Amino acid sequence: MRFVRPILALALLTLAAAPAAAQGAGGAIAKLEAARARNPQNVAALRALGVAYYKAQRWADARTVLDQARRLDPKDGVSALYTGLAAEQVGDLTNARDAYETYLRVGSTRRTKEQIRVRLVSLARQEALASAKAAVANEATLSRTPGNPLTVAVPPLTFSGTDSTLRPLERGMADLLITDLSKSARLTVVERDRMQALADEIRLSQSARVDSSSAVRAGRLIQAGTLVNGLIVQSGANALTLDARLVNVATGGIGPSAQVNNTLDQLFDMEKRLVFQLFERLGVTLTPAERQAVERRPTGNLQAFLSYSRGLQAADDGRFEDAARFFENARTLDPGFGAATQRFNAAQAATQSAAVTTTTIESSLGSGAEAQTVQAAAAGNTAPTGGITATLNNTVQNVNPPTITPLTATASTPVITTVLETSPTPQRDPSGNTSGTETINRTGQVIIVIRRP
Amino acid sequence: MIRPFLAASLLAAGASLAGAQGLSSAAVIVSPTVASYSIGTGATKRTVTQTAVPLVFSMPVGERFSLDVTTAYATSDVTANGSTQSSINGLTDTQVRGSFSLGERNVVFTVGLNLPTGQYTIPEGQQEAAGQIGNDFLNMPISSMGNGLAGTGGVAIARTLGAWNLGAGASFRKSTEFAAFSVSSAELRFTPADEYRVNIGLDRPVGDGQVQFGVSYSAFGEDLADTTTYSTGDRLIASGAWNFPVRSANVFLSGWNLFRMEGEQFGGAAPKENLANLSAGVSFSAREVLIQPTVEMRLWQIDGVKAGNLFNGGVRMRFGVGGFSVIPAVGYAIGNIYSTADGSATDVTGYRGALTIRWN
Repeated sequence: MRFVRPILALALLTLAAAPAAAQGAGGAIAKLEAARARNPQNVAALRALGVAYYKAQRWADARTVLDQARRLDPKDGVSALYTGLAAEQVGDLTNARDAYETYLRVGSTRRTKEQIRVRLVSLARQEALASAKAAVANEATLSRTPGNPLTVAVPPLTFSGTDSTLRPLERGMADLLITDLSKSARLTVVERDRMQALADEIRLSQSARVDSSSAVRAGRLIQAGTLVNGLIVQSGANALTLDARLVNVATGGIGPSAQVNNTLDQLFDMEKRLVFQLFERLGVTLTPAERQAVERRPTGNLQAFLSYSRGLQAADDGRFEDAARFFENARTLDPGFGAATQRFNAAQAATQSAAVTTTTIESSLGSGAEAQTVQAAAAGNTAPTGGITATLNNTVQNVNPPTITPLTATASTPVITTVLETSPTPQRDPSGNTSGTETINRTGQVIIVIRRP
Repeated sequence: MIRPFLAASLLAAGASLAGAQGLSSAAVIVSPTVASYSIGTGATKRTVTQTAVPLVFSMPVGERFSLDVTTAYATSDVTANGSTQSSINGLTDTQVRGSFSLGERNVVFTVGLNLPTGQYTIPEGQQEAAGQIGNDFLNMPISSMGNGLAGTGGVAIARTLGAWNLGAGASFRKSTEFAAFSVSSAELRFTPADEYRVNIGLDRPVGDGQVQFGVSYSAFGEDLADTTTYSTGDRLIASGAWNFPVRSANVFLSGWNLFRMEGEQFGGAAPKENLANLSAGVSFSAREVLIQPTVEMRLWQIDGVKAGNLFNGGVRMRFGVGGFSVIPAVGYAIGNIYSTADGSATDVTGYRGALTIRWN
């Protein structure tokens, strides 16, 4: 029992030393700044200092040192994550998104990645809104700069008819046209979400519905040269006309138009004919590969497409739960409808985005290796002195030890240090023990332990 | 728990975060080692010497799976009065271990396979050498040349409990029959017992250092030698360690205690025994070289009676040469072993040297 004493001594020393860990943020930062001063190229020191600055709400300082850390080690997940968090705090959404996307590639904490994916959806919307606000604020300047005619914007089409259930096709058809026009390398097509954000901003500033003139204004602000102004006209119970006119954004002048007619069940065929006419009116000649890509149909199921279109409408209105339901229905009706699945995921993320903040992202690190690194930084240490990963490795080594005791080699245990060990704990095999052959022989007598049956 | 603890400590000294988060590339390690212990003096002096060249290859396979292969070539001799009494040499068994991590990498499944590449059938002239290297007290680099085909499967988990990290694991080892001894052209078939092992460990940062405690319990079934069964006493290993920085150096204190319960061997009960080890070290850097002097004390008891003590002193270094890490180490040991019958002492002296080279 006398060997219990050293353990007790260690325990007491532990208790005595514990308060040292509870140093304040200021002390931690000073310590890490000293570590950086000793070696300005030390990634661990830069990363830890960046995290400590972030914890102290020194966002700009955090970004500066974390940027340095990322330049030195682009694959460091913690640096990328905290760069994203700090960038968000100062409203730099573009760099935040870039850093988060980096984290998705190089980070290791699954729950944090899940949070980041949700956050990216929210950031994309915020970015689009911020861009729209900036465009409106700079309208005078932007309006003086004409957009390239081959930069095309497609606002929602306008539905005219008696069957209101078809009205969501306004957005669905615009989405199809955007998708198809984007297949040409010669055209730059404004993303739907970006256009919608600008339309929302204009609507807010005007407190009115977006009409054709405000669409032209939006096109001007977004630096589009050409606007596709479309109509869906229901005539009779089942007949549709799709009409699209090219509008010169700079002058507001109406350009050439395209038109197709058929019944509702031929909607997708009509859309393809319309888009090919638009390419022609725009003076764009498609390559065979582009033509083949345009001819590809995302779905042939009209009901699925209607549900998808309703989902777009709901999403534009900010009703993401409804949107998710419509998209889910669309992909149920047509499991091969890839766009519906993508939109469903985005809508799902949007519904969760309210619950995802920089705080929840940070706490999602849990107790993994990255969390240990952050904890160490908060305590003023450049690297974790142990951490949950080390604990796990220890346990693995203890339940499945190597047969050659001085050398422990796994992919997760640094061998360099194990060979420096003073005295590995014996892991004697039971056969030697049972037979007694491992006993130190002081007399030179050979002991052969064999018991005949 | 001691080994990885020092691992973390030294990594902290080297400010290498990669180590704390796990190796991300393959590694090859070779570590030629010589260890020699002389027991007794004068005409009764016997010397056990082992020269071993362990070889380790480790490799991650994807993000979650890792593999390591360990084997060695070893020569062991027992000499008396300048002449060799017994010797054994050759390749040892090869151990292949794999680990697969789940979730946040806080759950690991581990498997091990002991491939019988070593000499596991020991003829009469080699039995003393084969037995001496297996002694816990002397702790030779290679403790067994071969144990037949065996497999181990286990799982380990780690969680945080406030400021503490808790690790827990369990494993099962199953061995197959092999010819353990060859006497007068007859072979003795031997089947090592199944082993059940559990481990619990706790660690936490303390200041810039860390403390760590652990307990491992191994329960053994019955060994089978031909048709006769034996049993190895269950084994309990407790360990504790603490490291902390002092100015530009790091100090390491550690200890472990191995207690083996009463078992059964030929002729009656195998007595319980206890082995305790305390060590202290300090590491510091001089230019690009990490230097770590250590001292160690080991105490051995059989059935509650003093059986031996050993004091070790040594120094290790680490430095880089190109893409290699080079770790030379030397040590000297002095102590006694005691007769458990009358308490008479016999001197023990020894030395150990190793040159470990690692590439990754």
